[in-house]
Amino acid sequence: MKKDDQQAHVERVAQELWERGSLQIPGGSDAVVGSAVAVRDWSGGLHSWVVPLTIGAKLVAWAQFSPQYTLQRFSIFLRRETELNRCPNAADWLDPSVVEGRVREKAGPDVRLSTPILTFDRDPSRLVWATVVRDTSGSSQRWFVAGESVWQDPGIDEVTGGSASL
Amino acid sequence: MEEQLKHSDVLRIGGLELNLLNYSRVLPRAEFEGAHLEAGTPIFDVNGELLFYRIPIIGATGSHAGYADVAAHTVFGAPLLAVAPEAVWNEQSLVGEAREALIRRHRGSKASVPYDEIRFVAYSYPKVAVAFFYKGKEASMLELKSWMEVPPSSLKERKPMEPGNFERWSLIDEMPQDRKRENQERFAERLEHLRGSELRDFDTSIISATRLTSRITVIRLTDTEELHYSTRQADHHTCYELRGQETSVWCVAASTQMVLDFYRYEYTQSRIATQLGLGTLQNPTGLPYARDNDVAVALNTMSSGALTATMLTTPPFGTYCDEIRANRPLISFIPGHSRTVAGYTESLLLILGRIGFRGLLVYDPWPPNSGVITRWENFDTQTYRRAFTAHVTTI
Repeated sequence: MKKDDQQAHVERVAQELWERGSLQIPGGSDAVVGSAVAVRDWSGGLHSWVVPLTIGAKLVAWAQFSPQYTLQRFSIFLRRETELNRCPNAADWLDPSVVEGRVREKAGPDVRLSTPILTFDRDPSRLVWATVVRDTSGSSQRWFVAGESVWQDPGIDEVTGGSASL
Repeated sequence: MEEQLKHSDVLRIGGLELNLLNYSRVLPRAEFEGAHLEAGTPIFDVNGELLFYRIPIIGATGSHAGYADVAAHTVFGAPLLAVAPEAVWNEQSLVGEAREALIRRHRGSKASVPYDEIRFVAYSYPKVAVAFFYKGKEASMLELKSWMEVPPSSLKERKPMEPGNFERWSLIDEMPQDRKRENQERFAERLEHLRGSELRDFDTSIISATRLTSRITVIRLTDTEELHYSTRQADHHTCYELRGQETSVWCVAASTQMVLDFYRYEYTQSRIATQLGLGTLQNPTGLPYARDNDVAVALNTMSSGALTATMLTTPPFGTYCDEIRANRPLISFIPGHSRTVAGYTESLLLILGRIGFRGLLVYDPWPPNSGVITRWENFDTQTYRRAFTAHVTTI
């Protein structure tokens, strides 16, 4: 898939910040800056970009940028060099097919899923993948995936943390 | 805080900011090293209030090294407004030119324009004019260098702070109240940093990276603090643990757990969730907004009263700084989510009026069963709902 200009630009910004040391990961100097993923808002518009940093198959950090390429946050999974195994698998966060697989595990094999999008649950720091699941009766429900956690969107706003999960 | 600063304060703050810029090599070192500041020219707003001082800078060899505009009114939001290393500002010379221009404009008329006072006015900030007054009333206002007469205020309907090309307007009067308030708060924060830092007793009348360098072991160009074992900075390393939320909705429980852990009150996240009424691992729930204060109550109860906890609403950056400096973590609620704050960073450098980066060190329990440490979260791009502080009750 051809990168669009914005995606390429935010990746360059992240790469530059990484190379000059503005972004640092304790014990993770071998990290590689990956391809940016668009974070969508609920109307489908571009909300921000997430640029992952990986070591091998592990996601060790990510940097979130506004559409104007302002760094909003730099978040680190890797706490110590020897604890790479505690970091999430990069595929859990970067591969939509893995996301789909997790939802199917919970929702059952006979459902239809929309293409997962990376979005957020209430606040932009709560990144989640979202997909709409339609069952055989035709009813649909939005599901969230964050790493290995999978749950239905309860749709309640004024709760810190959200409502009941599966 | 007072809206206006004294001339002596303006000179001191301007000198400090220029020293920091010079040290960081933002200014041309050859011209500025050893330079000194002269008395500034007051520049007024159209409404008569003092806005800023234009301060000439004289190089070590006695040559002009430009000027700096330093705010005398907090409406600007930051002390240092501009630095013009190449420009020459000679107040007396400009007043002389203005007088001659006034005479030329009225040559041929029967009477000269009388005046008994001259002031510099930012008629359309940052554009400056020379205004002549007679018995307290304006007699003429001539734009600097063009010496064109500045027209009177237009009665035309337009949006505030969006004047026409050659139109006089009052920066202070037209600035919306909420923006003015925000600017004043930012200004106060900046002053607090500059006054409270190790540069407090530094002689700012001379610009010198050499003298600043001699104090470099105690001066930081950023102000950064993180939680340690105690307030004695030499003690141990950063001392705070991240707890991932054990369900997708237990961010409040996880945040409360992080703070209680810091104070050595060890509970499982499930136990804390029970205390907060957040259900069980099998059937968890988040905390309704209406019960936000339950967090403060839980911190107190689960420490058997040892922790006095307080809920704050939309606290400013300074609150986070104060708590971290006292070596106390905070729980931070943002819309729909909870995390904890274990540090802050703020750039002390102010470059041409733009405040440096302000960041929070966030121990975020999201994503579930993992959490991340965010270093740093850009404070100016995030909405903050509540913060919860906790301090140990001592005798």
